[in-house]
Amino acid sequence: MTEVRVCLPESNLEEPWTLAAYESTGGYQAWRKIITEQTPPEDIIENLKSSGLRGRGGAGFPTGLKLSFMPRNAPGQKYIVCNSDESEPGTFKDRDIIRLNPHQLIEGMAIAGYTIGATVGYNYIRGEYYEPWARFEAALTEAYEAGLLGHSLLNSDTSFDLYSQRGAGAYICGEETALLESLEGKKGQPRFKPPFPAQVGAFGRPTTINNTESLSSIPPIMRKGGKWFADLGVEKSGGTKVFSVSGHVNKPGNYEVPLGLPFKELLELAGGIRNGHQLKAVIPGGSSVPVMPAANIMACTMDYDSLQQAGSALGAGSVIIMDETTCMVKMLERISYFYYAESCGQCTPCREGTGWLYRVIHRIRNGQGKLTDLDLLVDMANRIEGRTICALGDAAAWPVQSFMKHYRHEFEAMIQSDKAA
Amino acid sequence: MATIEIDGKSLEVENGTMIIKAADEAGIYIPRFCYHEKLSIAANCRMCMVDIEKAPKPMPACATPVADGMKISTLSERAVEAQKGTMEFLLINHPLDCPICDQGGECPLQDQALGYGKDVSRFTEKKRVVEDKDIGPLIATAMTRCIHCTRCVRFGQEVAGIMEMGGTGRGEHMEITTFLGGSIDSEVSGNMIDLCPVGALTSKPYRYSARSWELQNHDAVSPHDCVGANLHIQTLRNEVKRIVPRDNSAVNECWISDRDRFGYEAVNSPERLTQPMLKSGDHWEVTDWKTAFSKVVQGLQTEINSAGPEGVAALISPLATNEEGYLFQKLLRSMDCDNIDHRLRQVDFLADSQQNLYSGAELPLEKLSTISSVLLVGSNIRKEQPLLGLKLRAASLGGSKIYAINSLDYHFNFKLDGALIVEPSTVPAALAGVALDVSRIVGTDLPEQFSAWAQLGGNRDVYSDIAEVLVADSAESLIILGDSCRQHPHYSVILAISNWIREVCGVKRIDLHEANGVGLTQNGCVPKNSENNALNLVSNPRSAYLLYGLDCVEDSIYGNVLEDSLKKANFVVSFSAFKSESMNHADVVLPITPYTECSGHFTNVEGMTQRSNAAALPRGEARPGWKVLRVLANQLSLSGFDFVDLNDVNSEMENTISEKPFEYPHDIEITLPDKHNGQDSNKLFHRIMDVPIYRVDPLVRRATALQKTADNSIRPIAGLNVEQAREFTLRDGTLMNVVTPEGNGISIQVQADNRVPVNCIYIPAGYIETAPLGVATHLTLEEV
Amino acid sequence: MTMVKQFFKNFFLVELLKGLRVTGGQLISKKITVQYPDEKTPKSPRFRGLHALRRYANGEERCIACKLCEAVCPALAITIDSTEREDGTRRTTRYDVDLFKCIYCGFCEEACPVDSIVLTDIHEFHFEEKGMNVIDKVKLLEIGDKYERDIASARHKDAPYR
Repeated sequence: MTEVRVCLPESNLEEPWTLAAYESTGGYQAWRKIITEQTPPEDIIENLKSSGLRGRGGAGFPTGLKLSFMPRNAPGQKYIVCNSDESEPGTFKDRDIIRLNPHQLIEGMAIAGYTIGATVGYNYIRGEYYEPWARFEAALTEAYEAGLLGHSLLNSDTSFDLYSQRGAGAYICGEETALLESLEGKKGQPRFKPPFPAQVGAFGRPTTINNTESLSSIPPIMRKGGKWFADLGVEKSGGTKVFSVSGHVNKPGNYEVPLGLPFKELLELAGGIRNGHQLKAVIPGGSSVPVMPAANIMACTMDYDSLQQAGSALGAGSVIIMDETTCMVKMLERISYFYYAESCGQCTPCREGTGWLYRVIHRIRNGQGKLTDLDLLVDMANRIEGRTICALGDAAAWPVQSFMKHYRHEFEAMIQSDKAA
Repeated sequence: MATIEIDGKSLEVENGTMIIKAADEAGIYIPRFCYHEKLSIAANCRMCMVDIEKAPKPMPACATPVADGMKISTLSERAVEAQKGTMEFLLINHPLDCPICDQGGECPLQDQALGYGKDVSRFTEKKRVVEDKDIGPLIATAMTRCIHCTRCVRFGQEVAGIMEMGGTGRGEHMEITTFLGGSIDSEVSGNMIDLCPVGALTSKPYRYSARSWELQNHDAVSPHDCVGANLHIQTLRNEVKRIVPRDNSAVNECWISDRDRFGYEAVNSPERLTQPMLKSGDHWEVTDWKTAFSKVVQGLQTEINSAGPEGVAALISPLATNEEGYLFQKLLRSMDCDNIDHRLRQVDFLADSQQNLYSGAELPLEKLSTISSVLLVGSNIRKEQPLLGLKLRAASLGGSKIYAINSLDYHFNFKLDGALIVEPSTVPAALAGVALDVSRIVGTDLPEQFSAWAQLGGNRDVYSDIAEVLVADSAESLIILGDSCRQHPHYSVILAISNWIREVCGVKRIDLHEANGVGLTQNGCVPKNSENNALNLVSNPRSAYLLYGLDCVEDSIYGNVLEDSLKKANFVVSFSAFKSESMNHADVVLPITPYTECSGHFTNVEGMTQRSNAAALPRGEARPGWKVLRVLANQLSLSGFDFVDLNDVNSEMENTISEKPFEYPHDIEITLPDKHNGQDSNKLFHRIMDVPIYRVDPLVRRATALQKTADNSIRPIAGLNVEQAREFTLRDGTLMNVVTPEGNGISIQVQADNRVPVNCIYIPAGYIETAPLGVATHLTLEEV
Repeated sequence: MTMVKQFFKNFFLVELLKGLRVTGGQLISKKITVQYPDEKTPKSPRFRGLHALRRYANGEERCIACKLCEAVCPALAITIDSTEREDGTRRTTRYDVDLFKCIYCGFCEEACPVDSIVLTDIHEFHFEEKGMNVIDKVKLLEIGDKYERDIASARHKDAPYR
């Protein structure tokens, strides 16, 4: 199996982040065509719906449907926002998309903006991504100079302004409404929904927020058609997906492959498990999705439905591979620490619960655990899950629940052994 | 309308109503912390989880709108499990210090922990500890107790209009704090204490002095401003421990100002007068009531015999109740004396004979928060009438346009659509300028006597803006005349012009009064003959003075003149609740009680008369004023004073009010501007005067916590325009001599003040230190 | 026959001897009379006598003026005034117990979150003057200080049953 590159640039391209390189692969054709032909937004949405493109940020909501929710013809300003605040542990796909292929994202945002009637777009880039941000800014300058962004584009009525905004290092700002708060200059805390951003978004105006990869997928779909994209993947999971493979593999990195690829092949693509070791467990979609033992994941294909049926999720496609040397208690401790540190503090279960989860797990790893702690952990996780404004509570609860389900014996052994670290 | 079912009870509610509101209205209890009816929805405490049929998970009742056919259970296993889960999380980091927490006994967290908590915690880790903040003299903090419901933050942002509280940090380290650790300076900050569902924010003056369950509630009305906020005075063993708001949607909703809340400290102060006292030589002797009364009777009769009834003058504090005012004037008038007034901060009484002294309720105060446009004239409404300030803020958030004509560029808690900051003498001219533009729009000629004023006001764009807005929706427009108007040397002009605007285009007007000014006006505490107004009574010395509830120097803007007249008088009686400097000029001092110990009625600016009940027994020998006046009248052998109780007084008053004895025709005769206007010499500075929020009455001046707030300075500080302060090479706190044209001078700290316009100097009244300046409108400034 | 039996019973003073047997038995059995006040009967550690206010080992008074004892007292025998002490802690300025009103129910002790107010086993006390029935904070602390060892040992003995 080889990669199929849609969002990432072809590997043989020199300096793929330049306008020239992007245009040489057919870049901006779709955008120019839309401007000149004034394609009806309905057609674009149809095309996207037929492509089967689903949100690549984690939730997997169909992108075409999402764009169709916008009150397109309502008067007043509307916004398109790109969520490049990629902070989920194990995820690094957006970094490469922005770094290597910024123009495709710009084109994708412009088309999405056109579709929903937004003339202004923001790309909220993770604060730590300095190089991608610089590349994106350079690409913006190029696009403005080439007359692809700005006012009265190609002598039409179409206008589109695009700005980038850097985050300041909070994981929670990857949550769409917290991102909007941060974009508005406030403390990054998720808003309660409803109202959804499509009604009340950035600066109180209707707003659509999409993941970098979803928006980057739009130009090729517009160029080659929804069907082409859908056919790349499997039913209900159209197109390709960039998987960020990390952990105990020989060649960690980003691999863009069609959805529905068997996990085994993805593992081969990443060079297999590091020397002489056995696969123990995989977290297939970033640290917040449930962990899967080797046997379960080996039987799975990498697409939304297959992983869901297997009790996990595709998430943002960040595949964390663990071999048999991994201590699952330590792993969960680290994951819980992340959510403890990154909870925004707004709602009670997450603010108080994440710290409690971490402390109990930390205690267990330090040899001061009790067997009753394990039930306490599960009970706490259940009381966080689904009780919070945003999904961070769920994200903190799922790993605990899944680790307890599949690896409870390791925790018990840790508690009962007196050799605990 | 949507039909929903909560716990098997079928309800009809408006579409879009939140479940919690529907449940509250139906009397179904849902636990909550962050939800508050008057604040926006935050949905962050997660306590109000309810079970909705077909919903995949429990939903927060405060943020879930009803939908037709919704079936909600607040008691199902899933709902209760969710509520208990939240409670467990809330309690893990909440300290178990209820026994020493002032919120104990009235704490929603404590109450709900009883219903939803466990008796044994599963949390064995260390609890979070948060450093306490010092946020000023009014609010004590214990931030470890905070459950981050953000009610205080939302109150500041939404209701009070200044965001003084906010959250910093993430997750468990989130802290509610003030900006850079500063103090909370809002004039309504005390409401955060009520809003806080735990003991994180508690009252500092009340701290540790009682428990909620042992306090007795007494229904009272605030005397400090003309809103008449409803209060619960809470007492323990006959001592006022604290004051909390009493909900009244027509007046104060559920808020009260800090002045209402913390003013009670004065009634427990050591300055309280508890015995009748007689002056003997240059020291005071404690005496009994009998002796005191006989001394007063003897003194008064001597003076009346020698100087006639005209020789007696009576001045009453606007803080007095209607009954006190009524009896006081009745006492005077029974002696054929018309020399009575309560308007000690008014200079221009020309309008007295020309119009209604109280123009009646032009609109209910409730409506203020939905009014479409407002013109504030000479008013720092936020500090003068804090609760009306809140209503204007609500109006402003709702899109109403608010303009101001002021001498100081006050910082309001709402957005001004236009402000005109002019020297005080130009304020009537500016109003005339607006009137001129109104006349153009309406197509009526501006009466000639206003034209001269209008010319002085010049031509400014803002006039036409204001005029257009006022006329556009005149039934929903309002002109508010504030304290600075009342103190203005051309108050009658301002009244006349605003009256004219009101008549030609139908806008409403509210003439803000001091404290119970409306009630006292209605009950006769103004002279029938305008010649006998307060200024005349003060400046033409009489042989006998009766002072009622006054610290005469601070409570009058011509306190210096009053002081001189008192020195010249033969006989002075002071009815007072407190010992004060002005007592020294009296011959007899009769101890009366402040409003906490005296029942009576107050009438607010809307004309609503509300009863305030005594909360405690009088201290020592002090007695409620109305009883003192009644007995004094008996001692003077005056008839018609055989009242048995307050209701007797009241029923007589009601009959008198209905006769409306103070109805005047309102042909308007107008003084022309004097020659000072418009041609100020360079050496003279216009004096801007106002009475700071915590200097207005004898109670707040003795409320120790209020005196420590940022809104108050212990000694007066003058303010000079920033540019001119530079010319004077002023550093903040430099002492300068300020001298009136008559040569009266004081030395005062002067600082640059960005609210002050050019050629003006701001000098607050309400201080003994600034009293020598009197009502001088122009001052010279000399470096010391 | 009955009459004969009766005659012999009367003649040999049987009933009297029966009665004297009890008396005689008492002559040689162990006495239960206690020579109060030289001798005293044992008291349960739960005995509820005179009130006392305790201190911590470092000399700090335990009472935090929470007023729970005042609230729970069915006889309204306790009166407390509280304030913030200079060091910022919550303390009483007045702690009066009216011993005439007190019914020695021990609720105050049960309610106390810091084991400050306790009922000692002192039951022999009297007043000589009017007004001495109200004991104040100073006196209560004095009692506590004097009997701290007894109070502590009584609480310790009772602890397993709580």
